[in-house]
Amino acid sequence: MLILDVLGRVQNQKVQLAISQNIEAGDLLIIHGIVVHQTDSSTAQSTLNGYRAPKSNGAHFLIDKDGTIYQTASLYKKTRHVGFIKSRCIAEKSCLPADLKKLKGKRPGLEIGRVEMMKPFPSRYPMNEDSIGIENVSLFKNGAFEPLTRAQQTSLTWLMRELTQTLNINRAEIFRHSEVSWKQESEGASAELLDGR
Amino acid sequence: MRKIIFFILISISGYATSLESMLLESVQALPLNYRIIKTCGDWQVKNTHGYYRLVVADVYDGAGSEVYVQWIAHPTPEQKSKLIKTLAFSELNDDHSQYLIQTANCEKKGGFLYVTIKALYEHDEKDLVHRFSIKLIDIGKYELREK
Repeated sequence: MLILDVLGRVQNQKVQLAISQNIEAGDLLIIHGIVVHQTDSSTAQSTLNGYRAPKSNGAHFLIDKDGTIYQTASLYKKTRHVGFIKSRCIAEKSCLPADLKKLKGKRPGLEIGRVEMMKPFPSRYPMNEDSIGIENVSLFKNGAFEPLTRAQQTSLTWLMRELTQTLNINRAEIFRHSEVSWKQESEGASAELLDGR
Repeated sequence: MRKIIFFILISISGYATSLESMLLESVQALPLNYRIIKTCGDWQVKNTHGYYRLVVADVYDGAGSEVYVQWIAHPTPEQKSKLIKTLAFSELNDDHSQYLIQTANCEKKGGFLYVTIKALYEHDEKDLVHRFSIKLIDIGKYELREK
């Protein structure tokens, strides 16, 4: 179990605080899921520098290639890390006729995303409003993200376990970014999630 | 009367007197996600003249867009038309901070090229049109600001 202070900062020697208020975007009132990302950067420092720029975007945690975990945003604040969400009922082949009617003719991205965001959880994927993001330092090379290092995977597994226990998040509600939004298919593809996916 | 019928038949059959639509196959083969391609006036650097080309392409089946400006040199007796530079705008083409470009226009004014973009943003909770103005200063150099 993680200990959080009043500002939503993790108090644990495995987590280094590198919080940037520039990537925080309003209060995170409820947490339903976790989304795993990859950065397209060669070092954690370059990503942390980017987070300090005005109007920058990021996630709540950043895991360096050597496994160092940085907390980059308060767990009580939203970050802009997901984007337009895909249709969960289409992906899981569970759409009701009413769902299909609302989605008919809608384009990927904005149009489907606007329909989905109106649905209550868990009829939709977690989004910026109710999820925690974990970035992993990785480069995008030759048309794909490089796989997570062994140290990154170890840290990611530890962090996912701690967060799900502390915040009572269902382990099945952890997704790769490309599963929930229109992103590079390889983003997070090498990450092993807690439910064995 | 016979002449009239003859000319009508010619026009219906699409009869051509010379080579036409030579690029039809290339145009048909253009990737469908290249949604906007337009020229934006001329540039000159020392003795080289050319034109700007603005390109907007969709990514992920239209969930987002990317924008580029190219400097293309005019053909001369010494050299064929040549691509000098393709400029990408990292502020607008960020995969984790994606814009869906609605309109993109360009205009040469006072010696500079100005590109104006209207776009929606993937992280906005409501539809909000973002307006960007990009001033091309030199080959590959620009100033971008959100209005």
